[in-house]
Amino acid sequence: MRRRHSRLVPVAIGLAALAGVAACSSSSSSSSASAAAATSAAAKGSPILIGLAAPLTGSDPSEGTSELAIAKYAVSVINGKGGIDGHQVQLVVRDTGGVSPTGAVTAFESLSSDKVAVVIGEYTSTNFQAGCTIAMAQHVVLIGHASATTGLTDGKTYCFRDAYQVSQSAGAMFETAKTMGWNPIAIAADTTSFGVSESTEFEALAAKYGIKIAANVSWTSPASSLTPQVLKLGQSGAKAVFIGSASGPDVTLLAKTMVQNGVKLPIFGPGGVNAPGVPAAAGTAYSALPGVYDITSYDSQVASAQAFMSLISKETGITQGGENPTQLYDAFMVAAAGLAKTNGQGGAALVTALQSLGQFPTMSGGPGTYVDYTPTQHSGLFGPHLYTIYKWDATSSAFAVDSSLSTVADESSGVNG
Amino acid sequence: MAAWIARAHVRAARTDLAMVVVFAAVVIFTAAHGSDFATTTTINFGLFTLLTASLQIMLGFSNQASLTQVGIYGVGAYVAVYVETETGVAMPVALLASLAAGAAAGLLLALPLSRLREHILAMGTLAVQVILSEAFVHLTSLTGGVNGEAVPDALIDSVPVMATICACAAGVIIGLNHFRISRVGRRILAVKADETMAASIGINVRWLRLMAVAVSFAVAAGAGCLFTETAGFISPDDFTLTSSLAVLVAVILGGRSVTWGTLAGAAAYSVLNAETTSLPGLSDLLLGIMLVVVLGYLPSGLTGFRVPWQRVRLPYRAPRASGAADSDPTPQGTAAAAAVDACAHKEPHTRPRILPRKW
Amino acid sequence: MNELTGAVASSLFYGTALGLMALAFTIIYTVSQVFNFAVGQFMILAALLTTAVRFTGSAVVNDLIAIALVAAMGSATYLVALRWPERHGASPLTLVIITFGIGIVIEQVAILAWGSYPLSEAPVLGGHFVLNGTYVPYQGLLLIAAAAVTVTGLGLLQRHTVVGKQLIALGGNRATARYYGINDRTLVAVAWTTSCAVLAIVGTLYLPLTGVAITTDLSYGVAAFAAAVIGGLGNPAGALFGGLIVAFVTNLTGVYVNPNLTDLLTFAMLFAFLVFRPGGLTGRSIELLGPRA
Repeated sequence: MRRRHSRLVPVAIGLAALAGVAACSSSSSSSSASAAAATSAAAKGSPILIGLAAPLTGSDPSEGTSELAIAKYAVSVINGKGGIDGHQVQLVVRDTGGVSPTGAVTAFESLSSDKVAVVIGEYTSTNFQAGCTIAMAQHVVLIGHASATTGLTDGKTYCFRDAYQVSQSAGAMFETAKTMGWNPIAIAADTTSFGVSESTEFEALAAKYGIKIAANVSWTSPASSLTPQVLKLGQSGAKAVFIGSASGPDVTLLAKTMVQNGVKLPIFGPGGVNAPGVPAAAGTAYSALPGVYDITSYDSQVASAQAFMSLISKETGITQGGENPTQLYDAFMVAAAGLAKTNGQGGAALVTALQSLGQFPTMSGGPGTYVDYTPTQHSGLFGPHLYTIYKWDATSSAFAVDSSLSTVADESSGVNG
Repeated sequence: MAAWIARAHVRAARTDLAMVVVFAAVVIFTAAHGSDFATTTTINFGLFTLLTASLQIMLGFSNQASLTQVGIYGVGAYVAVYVETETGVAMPVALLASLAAGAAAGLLLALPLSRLREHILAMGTLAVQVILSEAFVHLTSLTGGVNGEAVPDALIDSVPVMATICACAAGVIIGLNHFRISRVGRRILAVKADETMAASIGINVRWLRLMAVAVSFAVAAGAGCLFTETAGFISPDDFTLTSSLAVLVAVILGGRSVTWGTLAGAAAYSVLNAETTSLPGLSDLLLGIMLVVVLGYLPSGLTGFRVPWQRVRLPYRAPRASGAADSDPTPQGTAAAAAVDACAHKEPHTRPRILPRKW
Repeated sequence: MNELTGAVASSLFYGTALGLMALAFTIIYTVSQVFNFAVGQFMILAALLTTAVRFTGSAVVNDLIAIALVAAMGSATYLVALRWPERHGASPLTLVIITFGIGIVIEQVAILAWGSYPLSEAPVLGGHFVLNGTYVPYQGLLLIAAAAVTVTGLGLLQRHTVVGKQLIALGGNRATARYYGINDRTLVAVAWTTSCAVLAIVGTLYLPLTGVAITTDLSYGVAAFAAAVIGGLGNPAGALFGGLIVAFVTNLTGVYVNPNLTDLLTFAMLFAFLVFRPGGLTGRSIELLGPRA
């Protein structure tokens, strides 16, 4: 009797669990099932759905919450101007879970099953690629706002991007190295997918700028010991170290280990050296190194972007904009412009509309920067974009603008099309 | 004997039928619901159940813990994609290739780790899982490296594929049910109960343990091939140590029963994971708390049952003797003095039950 | 600059830290056959208590408070989360998974309380001396001194106090020890307290050299486990030795061969030892082994 009794319990639990899982999926879809008529030309008054795939949970939930806030703000701006052809825009949000592409795939699929006109997201290259696969399979337009690996949209009709690619930022890094006389340099990055692809691209592009790469060290993030990597950097004869993809704790450990082993080389990178918490944690090590340079793109430093961020923080209370706040906002504006041409219809009509937009001015990158989609190229931000170079000041223990250095990355640096 | 086993198989058909009904209900419910999201959720659940069943073969039948199931799942997935892209064969052939790869991996890994038992074996397999993850990342010519690779001809969210996966999961669990009753199954359970005794009555312990690993890995690799059919895109991020830990937790949560335990464990873990992702920032914390609370309160799992005579009772603690202990300060002397005093005071000892091995 | 000096100095400090963590791991293992999967989290928790919650102005007092708190948390963990399942039929594997869950809880609470950004811990002894171009920090020497004192102290306690001897008896055969009237609940709690105190010592003394971040918990945890196995599970001296071995082998290989494979090397070493010499260098832990297939 006891055996039978205790067997029924897990059956009940199993069925209840399955019912629970099914109920979850049904409840999350039913909220937008009522507004599911958006693929065909929108009837009068019915809202146009735009989907957002963001990492609301997982390893970086603050990124997701910032993205959500900016998305809501962008939608409110569009609706404030009367919507798209008189239709109000409604935002549909799905959580990608932050880490695994399987979660991203689930999020993108649910968005396409919700019959959104266009999907915007995700911010890591691997997840964006996973989203591209769904976009191509389901014929739903995807606009990515952040992933930087070059060439991710090649040959994918339904995938677009309004982000700087690695090949573009490489130009700024190498120009800086040439100005400072750092040749050869070493590359240090972790082995995440972005880290590996960025390092590989940098190695390939270095020759174009006449810079030699003396060493390319990597580690599995998070690292507990970086001594072999640091000693290799010292041995390699490099004049400076480029820090690619690296988390805050890794950069702190790297800087401290470099100082402890007497590897006194300047370090520079596109933001990792100034990640939140790192200046405070690694400050003493930074002051002991011959120079620490934070080379950031216009996106976060230019006056218009800063005005945008202060407006965002006033509207939403978010003080930190996430990885690419202005690029996300631009993605919504581009999508709205495309949808205006197709009267709210997505799919192949939207692809044609986006490709015929011409030079669409963006908030990222400052005055004169634009996206320009053609049938053969769907990625990148064009126009002059200026990188601001911050140098570590040991006396004030903070980064300050180094006005003697500034780099203009020209339009042709590595961009396709 | 044969007749008795045959009757047992027939009796077991009751559970088989129940299992088929459960999975059929799930498939029909999801198909009727119609949304791609529900289909994907059910597919993920079906694949997770397959992985849990594969670990049940190793852990539930043969007491060999493994943290490599998801690594082998990845091996199956990459082999299937490689075979399909290089030779363009259809899915069933790729499935056979994955199964063969899994079995080969099982034999390859089981031999060197065969001396280890229990949780140190788990640690050995942890090392293997990490090495496999690194291999997926670094062997770019075979796996496409960190950027992953697209699967040719994948059918994302198709209801027939979901039905196939659920059917396979049901089939494997039914197989486990009958395996448990069969001669080989009983032998392997005898090995699990007491290895030395089993060897002494002529059971080939080595062979059974190796076969358990090989079959388990073959099932996991087959699940990997099915995964590629639905994913469209695979990358090393899909096959991490965390996922392997999830499978192990699911089996332990499930408990003693090989059929309902597999299903209950997979369902419970999926629900724990799914329910907690709606709360940003707290999801992992809740998962950790759930792990501690559920496993702590139900250490034998959801389907384990505690027969009272197996419960451990601590012996009555003998009171410290006044002078006898001080005269001989060695550990044996102190313990002996305590025992002497206990007897002298004629306190009733309860007979200590030695903790039986549950797994 | 002589990279050998740098490699040796770093390996010495990292190896001592790993060795102490492996020792903490071994203390719990010898007494209760449980792997504490949360060693990294306890260690970093101590550092976070010193750094993020500055109780007083003095680094030494902060460290001591942190050690006391983490030690208390260790015994609380055992009494609350592990005692009941142990008594009611949980296999050692289940208990290991429970400690894994505890590790997750500690990590997530730390992230909620203090965020996941790196922090810098103030060293007790600042300053360094230069040797062959390498900056050898005095804090590192303090760590080695503390390790020596801890190991000697624990050894003395083990040999010369009743509690120590009862712990040995408990480790030998738990059921028999209970038969003889040894109160295993209190003693295993004492073992957990000691173990977590050792982890807290590592956290407060070693992490000033590297920065404190809760996300590195598993990297330290797995390296410590590898050190414990390589040295020989169940042997405290082996644990320390194992830590030094892991640190030296990975660092020197990284310096002279290829620095990008150091993580893989740790796991490869662990695997190799488990296959060929599961008892580790000192040959213990035979109770977890069966006949070879």
